[in-house]
This record gives sequence, structure tokens and C-alpha cells, in this order.
Amino acid sequence: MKRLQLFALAAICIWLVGGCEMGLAPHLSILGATPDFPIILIGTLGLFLGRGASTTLGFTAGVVEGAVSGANLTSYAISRSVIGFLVGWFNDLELESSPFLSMVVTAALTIVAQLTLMFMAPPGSILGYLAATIGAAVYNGVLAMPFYALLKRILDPHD
Amino acid sequence: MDWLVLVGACILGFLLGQTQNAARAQGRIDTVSNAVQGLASPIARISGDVADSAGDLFFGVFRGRHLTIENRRLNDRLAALSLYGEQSQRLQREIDALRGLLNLGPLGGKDKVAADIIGYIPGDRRITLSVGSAEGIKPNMPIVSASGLVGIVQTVAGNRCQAVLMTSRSKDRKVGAIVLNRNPSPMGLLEGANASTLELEFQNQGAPVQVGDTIVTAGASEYIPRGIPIGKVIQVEDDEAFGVRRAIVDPFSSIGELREVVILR
Repeated sequence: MKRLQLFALAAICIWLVGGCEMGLAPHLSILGATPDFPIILIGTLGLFLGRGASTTLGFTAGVVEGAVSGANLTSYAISRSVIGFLVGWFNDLELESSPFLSMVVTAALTIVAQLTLMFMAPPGSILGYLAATIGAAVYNGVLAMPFYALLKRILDPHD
Repeated sequence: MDWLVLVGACILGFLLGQTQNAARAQGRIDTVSNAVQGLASPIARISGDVADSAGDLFFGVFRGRHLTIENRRLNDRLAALSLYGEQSQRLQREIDALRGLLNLGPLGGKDKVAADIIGYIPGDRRITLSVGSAEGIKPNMPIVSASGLVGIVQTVAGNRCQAVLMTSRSKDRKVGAIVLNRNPSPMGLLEGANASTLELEFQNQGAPVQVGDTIVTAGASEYIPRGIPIGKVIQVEDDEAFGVRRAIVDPFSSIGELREVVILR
């Protein structure tokens, strides 16, 4: 796929996940865990990108997430940039990508991102935050599989 | 090179945060957040409506009979409340007349501005509402539901605003609150304790407050009138070290059940 098309796809996805994070995510709460759509995007689309591009994707998704939540932009931008960079680094390992891999990567990224966020903006209750993070990691991992399959179909239709 | 992208992203993120903090101190939404929220709002509305409709459909299918009974009961209560409304207006006129005799002037009423919740971020205990400065909304205005106080407006843009929920723990967002039906009625400062409870701190350890007491706003603010219900006391504890009494309050309003709220302007 051409670079411009990939850029357009990333832009549309960021727009959609920003809206879904704002309006849909709270409705999908299960046992206190809510999905984090921007992290799911980084964990899936990032698997198709290089390190620099996935860092930029992480940064943009972080700014969008911080902006829609009204939370501190610095902590979201940095934590999501870091996981974007980690996805790019992970791609260098050249593992066979699959929906299962995207699930594991997204779950791991959720934990890294939320722990980074925790150190930058300490929550009131650490234990409650960690429990919510584990729940969100599982939730994000499960949602990442169909999302990855959809992206794979769009980006590599002949694969 | 890739490391430079990461460092650049972190620096840019830091600068954006500084811009955001400066705008928030003035009760505004920063330019980047405002633009992003404006772009994301249509998707948020559509996705939220779809989720609501799906939820309502399943609820209606499985609880249809219960809903019919509840509808009849609510109609009866509405008829009863209309009588109460007339009586309360008459009493308000009498109070204003009596205050006029004492040269105090009438109590300032608040306009109600209806708003939809178009965004909710549980982790940050913050909501986005569908009205803004175009409707006369300003920072620090209270947001209420039928159950009671929900939150306080924090930043305002043209056609939307963001508010922190009462459960949000913020040192500079404390609300004055009193214990209802106590004479004298002790006043304390209220803030969020965790996602589901509030903490009301009294400077006097002998403050007369007990489990089960109802807490309402004190009216010690230009924007928040007296008497808005907040919640019920579920625990009282004394902090000997600081010489204060703290009441843990279970709020009446639950954000998970709300779609529409009212801002008191």
C-alpha cells in the first residue's frame, strides 16, 4: 500500500477512535474495565509501521486521547509515544504477525502505557488503578484481534 | 533517527501540556483540545447514541412489563408534583416579599440549561457536555441531575464544555456543603475520595454529623446555590492529628445512569 494511503488510513482511524473513546467506551464497561481504543489502534496499526511512524502514531493517538478526556496532554502524549516506539522496536524482531500476536502486544502495551501514565500523573488509589489496568489490558487485547484482522484485510488484501 | 522522533514527541507533548495548563487556568479549553474535541464530537454522539439505543432495545425486550408499570407510577407522581410546584412558587414569592420588607432583595434564582453528556472518561472522572459559552456557560457553574449535584464546569468552549465530577479528587475544586436538618448546620468542604464516594471535612471535631445524614450544598459560592442534594453520610471518622472530622458521603447521582443533565446558569 502506498505511503499516502497508509497515512490517510491512520488519520481516519485516529479520528474514529477519538470519537469512540469519547462517546462509546464508557458504554462498553465490563466489571469496571473500559476499552482504550487509542491503545488498541497503536497495538494493531503500529504492527504495520516502522519505528518512527509508529512513534508518531502513538504521539498523535495520545494527544487525541488526552484532548477528548480533558486530561493532561503531556502524560498521554508521552506514554502513548513510548508504546508507539516499543511497537516499532517489536517490529524489528520480524515475528510472524497474527491476530493472536496483536492481542498479546496490545495487552502488554496497555500495561506499559498505564504504568507510565501512573508515574506521570499518580492516581488516588494505586491498587484500584492497577486492577483497572489489568482489566483494560485483557479487554484491549481481545478487541485488538478483530481490529487487526480488519486492518490486515485492508493493508495486505493478497496476503 | 527513531530515537529523535521519540524525544521530539516527548518535547512536543510537554509543550502541549503547558499550553493546556495555561488555558485551563483561564477557564478555557486550549486550541489543540478544542479542535480535537470538535472533530471527535460527531463520532462520539453517533457511537454513544448507537450504544444507548442497543442498550434500550435489550432492556425494553426483557423488562417491557416492568417499564409499563413504572411509566404509570411516574405519571401519578408527576401529577402530584405539579401541585407541589405551585405551592413552592407561592412560598418563594412569600419569601421574596418578606426579604423585601427587610431590604434584603429577592434571592437570585438560577436559569437551567439542559445539556447532553456527549463524552465521559471514567478514569479522569470528567464529562463533556453539549453546551458552551454560546449558551452562557461559565467555569465553576454547577451541573445537577434529578438526583442531585453531579459536577462542576471546568473549561468552556463555544458549543461544549468539560466538567469534573464530584468524585474527582482536586484540591482546588472543593465545594462547601452542610448537613441538612441539623441546627446549627455544620459546614465543611467536600471533595472526591474515590470513584464512588466523597469526603466532607469539618474543621471542628465536634461537628454534629451522623451516619445517614443528608448533605446539601452550602451556597457559599457565587455560582452554587444552597440546598442542592449531594449525598448521604455512610461513615464518620475523626482525625486527631489534624483536629478535623471527616464524613464519607455516598453521592445521590451516579454518572453511569445519566444522559442528560442541567447546568445552573
